[in-house]
Amino acid sequence: MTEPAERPDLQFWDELRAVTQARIGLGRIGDSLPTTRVLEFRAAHAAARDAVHMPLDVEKFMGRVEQVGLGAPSVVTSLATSRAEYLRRPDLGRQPKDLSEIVSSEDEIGIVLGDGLSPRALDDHGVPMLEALKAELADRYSIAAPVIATQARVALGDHIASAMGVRTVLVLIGERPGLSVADSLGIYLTHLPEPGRTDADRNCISNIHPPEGQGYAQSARTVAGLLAGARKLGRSGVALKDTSRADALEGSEALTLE
Amino acid sequence: MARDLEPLLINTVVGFIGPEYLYDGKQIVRAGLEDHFCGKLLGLPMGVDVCYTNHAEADQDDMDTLLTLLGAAGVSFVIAVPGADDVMLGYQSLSFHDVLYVRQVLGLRPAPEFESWLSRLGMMGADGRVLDVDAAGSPLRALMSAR
Repeated sequence: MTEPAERPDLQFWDELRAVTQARIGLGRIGDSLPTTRVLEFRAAHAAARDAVHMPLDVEKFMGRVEQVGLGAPSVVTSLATSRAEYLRRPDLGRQPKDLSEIVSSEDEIGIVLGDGLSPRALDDHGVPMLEALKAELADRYSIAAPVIATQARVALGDHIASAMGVRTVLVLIGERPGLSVADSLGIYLTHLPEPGRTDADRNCISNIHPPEGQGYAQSARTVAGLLAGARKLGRSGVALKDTSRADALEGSEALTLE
Repeated sequence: MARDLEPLLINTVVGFIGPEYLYDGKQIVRAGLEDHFCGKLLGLPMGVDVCYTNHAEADQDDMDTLLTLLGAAGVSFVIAVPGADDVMLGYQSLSFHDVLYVRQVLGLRPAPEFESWLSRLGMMGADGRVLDVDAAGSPLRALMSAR
């Protein structure tokens, strides 16, 4: 087989691959994928499934969260009693089993760290994201001690925030693992959180997984912008827009191949 | 509703939600065929995104099965992405290779407008088989300068 560097067509794909994680330029054997590519795909699928099913090491994670310096974290679990039940019953993942550990506070912002559909995403990116949020927000707002939530869906944060008494809650949660990105974290911001809020009441910052995905500092800045907007507007959700990068699309143009 | 809106196309993204709706490959295959059947009954220009998520009990073998069944059942179109991997939405669909497979096995052709575009770009021969394209000379190179 010819080395990639000597094949201009392969070099062409390598250049494009440098700017995307998409599976492009895979080659063909007849009409089908080469065996190597099929095996790569199956390995990635197995890794993505591991990311869904491997539980968060809560004890270890608690220690790392405490070191961020926002206070000792408490732990809440949902009504889902197993991973299999969690996957089948999103309604159970939205309700807390027991909130007695939650201490009511006078703080403005609560932060919930949820495993969601990728405990690995929380494990990989939860702590550095929390550090970035602290750096961005701590001099402007009072932040309650973080809460770690397991078998968690986003709306579990409404119950937790309600028990804490905070005015805005940030739920950092593992996003559904994809084949090429199994460790993507999302942040859901809900202003005046309470049980019964819907996704239309939230703003989401998605695809946080540096270096390929969105970075921590950039995401924290977006949170700060949304937070200021939500406090001014008196609500979060569809009425609140992130305008911090409104000019990002300017200068891009459509391309037609004829 | 689709009849009132007269859409150019409609599409069922059959396995996109996850196990709370369709638990495994068998349920996704069944639901894909049911959606297709309803589309035909209503006379809709409907296609299927043959797909699954990583938290469902399904894999690419199930997608091969559903694609083959839908091809035999006269599906209007299917969705495909590079290597079956939708990197933005984080789920798996069909690959362009899968589309070539189903065309070859069932003797299908692309939509006429698409077929003439493929021919114009030198990507498909008169026999409907995909051609080797010299990437260095392809109009696709314009994608590089558009970065």
